[in-house]
Amino acid sequence: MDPRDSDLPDHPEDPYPPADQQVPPPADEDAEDFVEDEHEEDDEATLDEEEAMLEDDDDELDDLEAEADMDIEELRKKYGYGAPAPSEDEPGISSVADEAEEEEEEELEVPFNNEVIMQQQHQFTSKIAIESAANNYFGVAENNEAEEEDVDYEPPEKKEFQIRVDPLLYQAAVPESIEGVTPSAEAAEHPAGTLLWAPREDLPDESLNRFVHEWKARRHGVETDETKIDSRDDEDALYALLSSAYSTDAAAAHFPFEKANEFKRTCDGESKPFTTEEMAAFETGFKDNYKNFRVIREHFVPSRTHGELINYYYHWKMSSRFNELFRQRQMRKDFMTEVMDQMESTKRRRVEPSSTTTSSSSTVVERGHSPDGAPSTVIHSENYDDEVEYEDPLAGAGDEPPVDVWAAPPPPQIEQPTESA
Amino acid sequence: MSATGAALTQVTQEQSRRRVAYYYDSNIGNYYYGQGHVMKPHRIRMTHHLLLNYGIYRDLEVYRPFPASFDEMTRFHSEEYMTFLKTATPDNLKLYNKQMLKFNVGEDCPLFDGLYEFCQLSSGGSLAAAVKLNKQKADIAINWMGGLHHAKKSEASGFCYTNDIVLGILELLKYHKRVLYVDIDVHHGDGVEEAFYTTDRVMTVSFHKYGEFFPGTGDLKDVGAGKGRYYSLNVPLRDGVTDESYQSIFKPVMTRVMDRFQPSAVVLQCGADSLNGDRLGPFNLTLRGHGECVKFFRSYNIPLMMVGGGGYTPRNVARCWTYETALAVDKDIPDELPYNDYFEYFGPNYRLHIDPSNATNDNSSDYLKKLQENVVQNLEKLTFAPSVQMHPTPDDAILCLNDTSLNQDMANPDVRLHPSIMDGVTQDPGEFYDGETEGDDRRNEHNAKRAAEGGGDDAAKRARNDN
Repeated sequence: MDPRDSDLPDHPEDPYPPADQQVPPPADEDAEDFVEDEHEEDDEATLDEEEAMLEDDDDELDDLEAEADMDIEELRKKYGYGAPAPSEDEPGISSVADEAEEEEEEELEVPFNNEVIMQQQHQFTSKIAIESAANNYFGVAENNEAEEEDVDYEPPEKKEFQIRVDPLLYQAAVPESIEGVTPSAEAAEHPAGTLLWAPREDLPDESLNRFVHEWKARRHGVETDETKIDSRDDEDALYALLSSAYSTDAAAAHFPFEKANEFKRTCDGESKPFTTEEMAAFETGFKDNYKNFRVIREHFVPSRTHGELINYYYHWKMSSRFNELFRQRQMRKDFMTEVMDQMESTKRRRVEPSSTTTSSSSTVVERGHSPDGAPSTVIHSENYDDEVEYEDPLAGAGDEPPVDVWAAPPPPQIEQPTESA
Repeated sequence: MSATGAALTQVTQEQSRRRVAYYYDSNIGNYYYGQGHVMKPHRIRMTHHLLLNYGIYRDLEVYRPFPASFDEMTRFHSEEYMTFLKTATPDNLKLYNKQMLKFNVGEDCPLFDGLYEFCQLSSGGSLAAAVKLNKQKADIAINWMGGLHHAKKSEASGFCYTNDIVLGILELLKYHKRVLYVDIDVHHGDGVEEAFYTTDRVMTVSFHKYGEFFPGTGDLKDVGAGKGRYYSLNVPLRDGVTDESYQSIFKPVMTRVMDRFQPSAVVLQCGADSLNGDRLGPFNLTLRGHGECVKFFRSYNIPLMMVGGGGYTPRNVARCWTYETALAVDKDIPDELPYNDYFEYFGPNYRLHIDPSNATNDNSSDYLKKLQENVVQNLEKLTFAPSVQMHPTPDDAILCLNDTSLNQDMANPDVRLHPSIMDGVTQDPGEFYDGETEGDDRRNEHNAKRAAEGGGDDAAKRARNDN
């Protein structure tokens, strides 16, 4: 509970959870309406869902009965009206405002590095402690333009934040004491899996290093350089060594080594390197569909499995091919940045310092009920919304590490992601 | 003098050495929750590559676990829920609207390609890890694919679909009287707490951010119910907690828990979203503060299972879990990251350790002190090491059960044991009863032989007869 926000005694913590992120509890009348809204175009499904709701009515009656017996404090707790926390109001707010301004400036410098934005937004939201996160993992991190219209929208009844007790429905079946281990219990045990490597005390590190190094070099077709021997491991080489009872000579006979930990489920057979055509098709698909690997696979690279595409994506993302694509986009975006700068400066003039209502379009403030309307906060959040609107898909839903492609040394061109993980 | 010194070092080395089993399936990195989703299984692959390139891999016993079966997963989860996970795919999702709502699959927990396989892999790792510890074939078992602590019996929650931790603990409970679960994820470990809310055989302790934060549970006041009252412990923290303040409450509380509960196995959920710079977590821990918890449990010489969990800045997750694997095998690793397949992700500094930020720590020392008092109060109410006087200690039980001859002795004499067991049984030549081999009069033959060998036999015979 953030002290800066939760200290308002007359301000119950009723969030406006993002409309389409809130998964309503099944036995919930409000949720019914809510579901209808969301699936308006799909009447049949909605009917089904309504029926599902009706089936749960019994539970609800029970719940209501139980609630009638509760005392008021319990009820408050059940519905998320926590006790007010001690106040340490003023310094917190001012520092939030300052930091928000700082962040705002940073944001303008790298407006399209979406990861940075997400991070800043995350810090920002946690700082002003918007009262919503509890129902949703993302909290406010994912904004919804749609909900901006729903000012009058009553949030569905808040989910109970309590551990539920019902041995049949919620608890694991725990035997009272240790079960006698009978042969049948042994048989029911989960198998140990495939052993890929086991350390051995009498195997000196140096010989292991030499062995691994030699075979790594040979696999990549490089001359063995004795001076560069390090202690990096190669799972295939070690697996071969294990299979040959730790005899380096016997293991060497098995070169090229079997893949120790191959993609068995997410690829069909052996994962071969991508061909140039496949790479091009992937990139075309990526431009239009971003990270919807499903669509990319169906329409652009049908020769590959879903898993292979994801594996390839994580290599490609750090390769020079991606950087090139990214730079082309960036040029287009520089123009957008200018436009945004202008828009933002006009907005700054427009927004009245003490009013939160002018920013009704801003989800963040709306939800947060920012106590005294911290003006810079308002601007900040509005900027953010703007950015979301202008966001180019390639700049990323920002779910990747904020690797600064400009500062990082030029990454080696990885064209053959054949790694075995 | 020098000899004693060497011996001493050896002793300490012996003590600090642990057999570490590690479970990893390369497929895990090839699942994708969906565009814009913060949960990235890829982080586990990044961890694996760091382990390889740091040379930590060679000190591990590496397993590729078998995926958990449907039956294994329904030991905790409801069949209806598991059937849904097994059959629903992004292709036929329209057919499952009702169930998706019921099982909370859709928004936070999307239905992605290969979802069921993903669940099988993560649960399979934790099950295999638990079995390994049960057989005492390892001291520490690590499964970074697991740790999905929000999943409920019939409900997905917080990016978790199947609760591998609950499955693992259920497996451990076959051999261990009491299992301790500790959760250092920034989110409350509600799924595990709920599963074991009413039992005194599993104690759950969670350190988490509380107040306007997912999943909303984990209040100090929630202590368990029924028989399990006071066997759930929650330590609610606020934003910006640093290494020092975290350890200032973690160590005293956990030391007390270990004293009072005396678990025979520990499961540590190492969610890395409590680190500084996480996309969802507002804590300010570094790898050192986070890893301190691993060191703490490693110092107790009891079976330890380490699982992953949250962590939404993949590069820091990989750093954290690599560091903690190194702690488990007690290997010093340099701060400079080795080159690996995903090296570029670790820019711009390419170092292992991360720095704390100067974010305000909302956990004042007063707050922590008060919190600790309250937690300890709850702990005092716990019945001291439950049932300990009534039953043999777990260790004895395991020795006893692992001794197959004793097992046979305890078996029902009216039931014929399986040939695979009886084949290995030979009659002791010193047996003095008329067994199935009666008729060839081995007894007399035997006596005569022993007599010829000399004394002592009569005494032994008398002792047996007395029995």
